[in-house]
Amino acid sequence: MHGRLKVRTTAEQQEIKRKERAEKVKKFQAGLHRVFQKRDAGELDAEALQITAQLLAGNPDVSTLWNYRRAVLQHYIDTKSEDEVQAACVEELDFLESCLRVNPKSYGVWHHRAWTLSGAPRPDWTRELQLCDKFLEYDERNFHCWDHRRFVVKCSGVSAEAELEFTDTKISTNFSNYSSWYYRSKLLPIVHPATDGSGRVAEAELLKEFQLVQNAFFTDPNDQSAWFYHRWLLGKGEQRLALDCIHISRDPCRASVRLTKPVKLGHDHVSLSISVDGKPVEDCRWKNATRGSDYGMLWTYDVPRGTLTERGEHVITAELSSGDNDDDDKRLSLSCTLPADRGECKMAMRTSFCRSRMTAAKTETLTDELESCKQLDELEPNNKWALLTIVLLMRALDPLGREAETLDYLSQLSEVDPYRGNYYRDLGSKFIMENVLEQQQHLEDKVALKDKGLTALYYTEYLATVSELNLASNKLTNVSQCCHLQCVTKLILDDNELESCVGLGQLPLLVELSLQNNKLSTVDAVAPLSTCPRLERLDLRGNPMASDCAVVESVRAALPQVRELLLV
Amino acid sequence: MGNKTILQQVFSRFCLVFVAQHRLEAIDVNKAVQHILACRNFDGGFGTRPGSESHAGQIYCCVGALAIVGRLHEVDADLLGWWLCERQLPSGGLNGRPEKLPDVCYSWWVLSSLTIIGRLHWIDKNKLVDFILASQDEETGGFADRPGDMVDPFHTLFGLAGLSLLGNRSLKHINPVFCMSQCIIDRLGLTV
Repeated sequence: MHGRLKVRTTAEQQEIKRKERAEKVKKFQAGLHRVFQKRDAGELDAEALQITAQLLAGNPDVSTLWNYRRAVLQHYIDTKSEDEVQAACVEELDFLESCLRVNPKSYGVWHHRAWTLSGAPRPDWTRELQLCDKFLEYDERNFHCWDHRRFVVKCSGVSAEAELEFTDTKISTNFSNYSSWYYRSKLLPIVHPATDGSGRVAEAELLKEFQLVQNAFFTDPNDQSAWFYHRWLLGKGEQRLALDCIHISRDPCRASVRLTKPVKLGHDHVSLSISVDGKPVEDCRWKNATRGSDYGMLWTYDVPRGTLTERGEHVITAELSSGDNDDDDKRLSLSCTLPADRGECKMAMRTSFCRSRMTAAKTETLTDELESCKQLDELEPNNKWALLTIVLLMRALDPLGREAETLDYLSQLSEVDPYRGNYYRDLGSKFIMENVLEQQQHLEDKVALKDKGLTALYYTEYLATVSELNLASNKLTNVSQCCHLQCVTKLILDDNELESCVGLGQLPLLVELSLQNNKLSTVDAVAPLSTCPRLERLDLRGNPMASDCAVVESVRAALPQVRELLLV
Repeated sequence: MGNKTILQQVFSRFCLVFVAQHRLEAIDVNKAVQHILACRNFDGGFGTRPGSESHAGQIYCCVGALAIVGRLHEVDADLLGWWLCERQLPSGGLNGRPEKLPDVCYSWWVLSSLTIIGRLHWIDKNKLVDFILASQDEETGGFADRPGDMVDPFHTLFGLAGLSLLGNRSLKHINPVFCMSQCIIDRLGLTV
């Protein structure tokens, strides 16, 4: 089914082949028939093993036959002496090895081998590891064999340190060693765990690892594995669940809370409560601002009338609780004070989007690496791995200071590696958003992102308290992420490439929306806007729909709440 | 489920229970999701079982299963999307993991995964269409794993499914999670 070249044959050759195949099928079916006869009669004996062996030797993926063999062997395990069982298992392992020589990638064979070893009274794990070594020499990427090796390691108690050394050997002798680097990514955090509980690697070992991977990709700059591994080394640990921002307003009377990661409130013991002036608000019904999912980072609650006075000062506190039992409960709280004469207030934690505290040693290592990658880029200007790694290193070292340089390299990448052009453009958009949010720490009321070349919208949860947002003159085709703009009153999306307004529906405070010069052509495209309760001004000039009178009329009819609708 | 259960089984169980009975509460979804997440790797992908290397076929099973139970946010879409779009080779075809040959069936496993996580535009669609069509046998019909090889039903199915996802409108819309026509999914009243 894979890798079978189509070979031209004459009608006569085809006829010979057809007869051969028919003969094989007849023999196989006769064998199968006999097997089923025996199985239905409950015969678990040597003949069963003999017939199934003949069939499986040529067709190792017939699970039913392996199941029957297991039934026979299990019967032996249940009824025969330990020595007899051991002998049968050794014979089975020999048979399996002969199957592997024919087909080293059969799920059925490897699975049965592991099963046999699990049932054998005295499995020879040393020999098994040697078998794995042998098959990995034939094919370093045989994941069946790697998985089997991990099974053997687990059963026989080989240490993670020993396995790490094994990957050292593989990496230093072979190319095409993605599987070895991958295994390292699992072993390193076990052998040298970071002390901060992040699940990452301890600093000293991490720096040595940077050296190791650097040697690999400078020796063979076109072997992808090392570059992939390097990206992982640069990565961060997982986010901890915590409160990130609280916002309260009098009109509409509403609280919103942002968390550091998506949750489903009321599930998995995660709950959120609000108290006003020390008094808990009963029965909070939180709404997820993220559409199309039960999980979200941004949750809003329509606070009942009378909870807040029209002008008085109030202290609002949000409390997050998560954890399986009371002892493990991680309660986190965030408060903000609504001043007497103000309509809203917000409080946000300082979030780092792109800057991370690095030790001097790590900064030095990465700076040297960046220099070396730039030299490699000069020698091999079309090596996309070097270009991408330069980008990632600059992001790690100086994301704000090197923004222009980073975007320039991404632009080069789109030319050198055009198939993935859209990926590099979206990555650039993500970096731009990170830098904007890093600089203004997401507490600004008005955010301008005009003419930034944005192809995708990231981190819109961090724009949840923004009242005016300008996204004009970008390359947006999709605004589904705008659902998080819970406080936006004025939104400008002129000169983009929007064919639909999905994501702009139900924006509770949106009053003015400009969508000039997009690609909106039907009334369906703007239908989501009918659910924006406060929308008064809508500019649709310069869209394909403007030239169709019928569409224009149906748009006016679909959006009766809009007092100022500009179409032509 | 013990740790001997491989991901294809998790995914197919989800599908069966969801499609046939719409009764996901019959399964301990949280435990199944924890098992899937235990198969997550450094490159954002998923392997056969915890500790296994990422492979496009397994990724499809995991991403599809997470989509059915509404837990797609557990996937690092940008990291996985990058790994998946790197499956596209100069020929335009897609492989199943690094340093392997392109294969029409990966037009499905990789493409459907990219679609589910909203990153289909990260590959060059036209080049992939060219590769799939070049894998057709113009004498007998059907698709092979790559140009010049023997055709078979397996690659014909995934070649057509891939072409549908790539926008070929002489074919019905295909649902990327279930690998079934969207009209059937709609008729069954299923939403994912």
